[in-house]
Amino acid sequence: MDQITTGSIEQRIHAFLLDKFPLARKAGVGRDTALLEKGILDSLGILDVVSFLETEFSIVIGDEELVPENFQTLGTLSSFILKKNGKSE
Amino acid sequence: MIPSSAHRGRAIVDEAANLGLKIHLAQQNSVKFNFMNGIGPYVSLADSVLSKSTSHFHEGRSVVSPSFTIGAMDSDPARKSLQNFVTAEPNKSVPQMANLVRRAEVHEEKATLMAFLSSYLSPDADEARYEWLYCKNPEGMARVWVVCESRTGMIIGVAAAFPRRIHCGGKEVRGYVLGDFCIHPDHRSLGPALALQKRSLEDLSGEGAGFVFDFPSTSMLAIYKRLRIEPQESVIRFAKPLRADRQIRQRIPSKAAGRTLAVAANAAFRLRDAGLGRSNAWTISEETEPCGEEFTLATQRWVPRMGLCARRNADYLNWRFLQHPQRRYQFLTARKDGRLCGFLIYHWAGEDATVVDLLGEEDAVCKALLVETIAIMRGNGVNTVSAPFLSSHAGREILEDCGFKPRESTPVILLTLPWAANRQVDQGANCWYLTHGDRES
Repeated sequence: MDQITTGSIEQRIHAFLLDKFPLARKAGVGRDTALLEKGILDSLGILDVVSFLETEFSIVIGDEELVPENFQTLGTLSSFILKKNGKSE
Repeated sequence: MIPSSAHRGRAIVDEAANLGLKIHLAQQNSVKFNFMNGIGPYVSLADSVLSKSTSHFHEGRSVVSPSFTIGAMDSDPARKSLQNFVTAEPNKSVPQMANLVRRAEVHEEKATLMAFLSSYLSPDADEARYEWLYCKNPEGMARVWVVCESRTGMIIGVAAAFPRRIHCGGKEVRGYVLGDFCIHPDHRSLGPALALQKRSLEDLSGEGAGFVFDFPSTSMLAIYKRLRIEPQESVIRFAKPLRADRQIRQRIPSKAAGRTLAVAANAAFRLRDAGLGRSNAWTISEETEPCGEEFTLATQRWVPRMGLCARRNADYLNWRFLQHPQRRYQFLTARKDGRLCGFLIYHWAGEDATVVDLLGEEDAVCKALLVETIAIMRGNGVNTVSAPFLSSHAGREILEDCGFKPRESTPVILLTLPWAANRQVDQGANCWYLTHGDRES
């Protein structure tokens, strides 16, 4: 995987969200936008995101990691990826 | 003990810094940790501290609660420091455990479950429905599971299974229709739902259920997908328009012109259906009394020809349809010389009617019942009669013969649990007969 930074992770996830989720395009997604609360991500959406993250960042996401803490915002998603790669903010 | 919350917060931050943790005070009873760079050694410390719930800490974020224990850290130099932190902040001191999934008690937890269901499933999930669906099913009490937030014990999700007896190759096997699955909006991140659904399927399998079926929503499909369970079937809503009033009302603004057009269109629909012909071979009438033993005996004879099919004895039919607390169902029966030959159950609300069950000793009687229903509904001003039906079942041809057209479809999950497979139960070539009346959600 390329050298990853918080910024690059956020950019890639952000682009994916805008590409896949009409509500993300409509409402806009910032680092702290509540993805679950605002309905940008639903259950099926999370599955899409999981699939994207696993492919894009070469990680495996366990069921027990599908918790709101990791999927709440672009920022938490980004932190989650960093942690999965053994890095931290 | 540090007296004020400000001082407590400062103390926590200091202690965390000693441990190589960056810490954020979040809500009143929670603290979030983020690992800082270069704290690798403390990952193992966190593992030992958090024992079974390490995943949250692995993500570098945790919520602590009062039951936190640190007994496994004796050899670690940071023990004293963290222990101080825990002691100093008894309300903020235990890592969040994994959500707990457990069986719920239908009677003892009735109030809690009802409150949750009416808040997060549907306002219709009231006490009358709960009593009827969870407690009075003649096939048995509902099975209920809840997923709870470990820190607070608060229920964040509910799943239920409603018993059925499934006729399968000359035997009756215990089965369940799943329903009332709902998760608190703040926890709809798939993880809690997965844990809940896994546990319920494991338990049902473990207690000897042979079959489980479900009519999943789109969200629910995501859960099945993650569990690698694919829908094997779909329900198609077959629809037959009887009158054009509603469609014309929606499209033609002028009331006078609309009325004229509707009269013409309705006449055309009537003319179209004149060819269906009402049969004289059976006496078809509305059944106003509860189903008696004749239904039990008759359906025992009819059900085998349908494939895999839930038992429809008199007790079940009375409970499922006649005692429903929120919906009024109507029965039509077809008899020959007084002998019950078939029945059709429908629900009628406003301009729409839905056929929810149809069973007979032969296809011709089922068709006669449908034709009669169409005539009754037309007379009552119904615009469309719908009949949801499994896509693969041969019975759909009866609907198509009566002029029903396939519309939208929704997936169906049909699971044969290990118990049935181990017993080599004949699944009737996997042909299921499920109607709208078989679902509970």
